[in-house]
Amino acid sequence: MVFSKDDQERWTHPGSVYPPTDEAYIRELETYIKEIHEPFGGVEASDAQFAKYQQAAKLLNEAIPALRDKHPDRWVSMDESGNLTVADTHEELITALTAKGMYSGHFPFEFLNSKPRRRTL
Amino acid sequence: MIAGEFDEWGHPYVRCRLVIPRLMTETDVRFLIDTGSNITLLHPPDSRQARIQSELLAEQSGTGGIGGSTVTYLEPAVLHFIDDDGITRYIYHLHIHIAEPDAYNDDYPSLLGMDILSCWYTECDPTNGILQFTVRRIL
Repeated sequence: MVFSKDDQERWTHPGSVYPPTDEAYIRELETYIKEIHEPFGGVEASDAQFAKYQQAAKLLNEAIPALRDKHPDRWVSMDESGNLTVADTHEELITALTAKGMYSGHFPFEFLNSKPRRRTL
Repeated sequence: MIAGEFDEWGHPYVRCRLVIPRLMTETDVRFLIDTGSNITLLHPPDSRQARIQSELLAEQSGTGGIGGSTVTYLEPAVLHFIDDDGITRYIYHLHIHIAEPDAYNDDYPSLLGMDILSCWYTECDPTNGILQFTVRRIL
C-alpha cells in the first residue's frame, strides 16, 4: 500500500482491528497525526484544547435547563471556566466570541429553543 | 472507550475534534448519532461556528432522506476521538459532507453516520444515562 497525504484510501483498512499492531502502520499514523495538527500548534496543544472543550461542554450541558429559563430562544456558549456568552443570533454569538479573542470553533454552543420542533432527520 | 452524552430529550451525541486540512480548519464538534445516515454530515450551525467559508467548498454532492434532501459539499477530513482514558486516540480519515444552508437546516445538528458508527460497538441506554462506544476497527 502506498501512503500519500492525498490518497483517500490511505486510512481505509476494511476489517482492520483496533488497536493496530503493525509497527510501520502505527508510525505512519503517528506521523500523520503530527502533520495534521502542526498548523494548529501541534498535537499536545490540540489535545489540551480539546480537553478544555470537553470541560466546557460538560459545564454547558449541566447549565442548559437553567439557561433555557433565563435566556429562552437565544444562543449561548461557555468556556471551560463556566464563563457564558449570550447572543440573539448565532452570527452575533460568533462575533461576541471573536471580540473576546476566542476562536468560536473551540467552544460548545447551544440554541436554547423554548419550543423544540418535531424533527425527522 | 469513547463516552457519549444525551441531551434533555435523550438524543445521543458524541464530541470530537474535526480537522479539514484543505480549509485549514480545526474545530470541535458535537455530532448526533444517526444510524439512519450513511454519511457524516456537518450542518450549518457547526460550519458557522468553525467559520468555514462556503465559497471555498468545491466538490458538490447531495443527500436525500426521510426529512428531505439537501445540497452538500464533499471534503476530506479527519475526525479525532479521544478515549475516556484521556490518552488513546482514534483517527478517522474520510470524506465528510458539508451541507449548504437552506430554509430548513439552519439549526440542525451535525450527524455522525454509519461510515464511522459501523466501526464501533455501541451501548446506548438513555434510561441509565449510558452511552459509550468501543472501537472495533479504524475504518
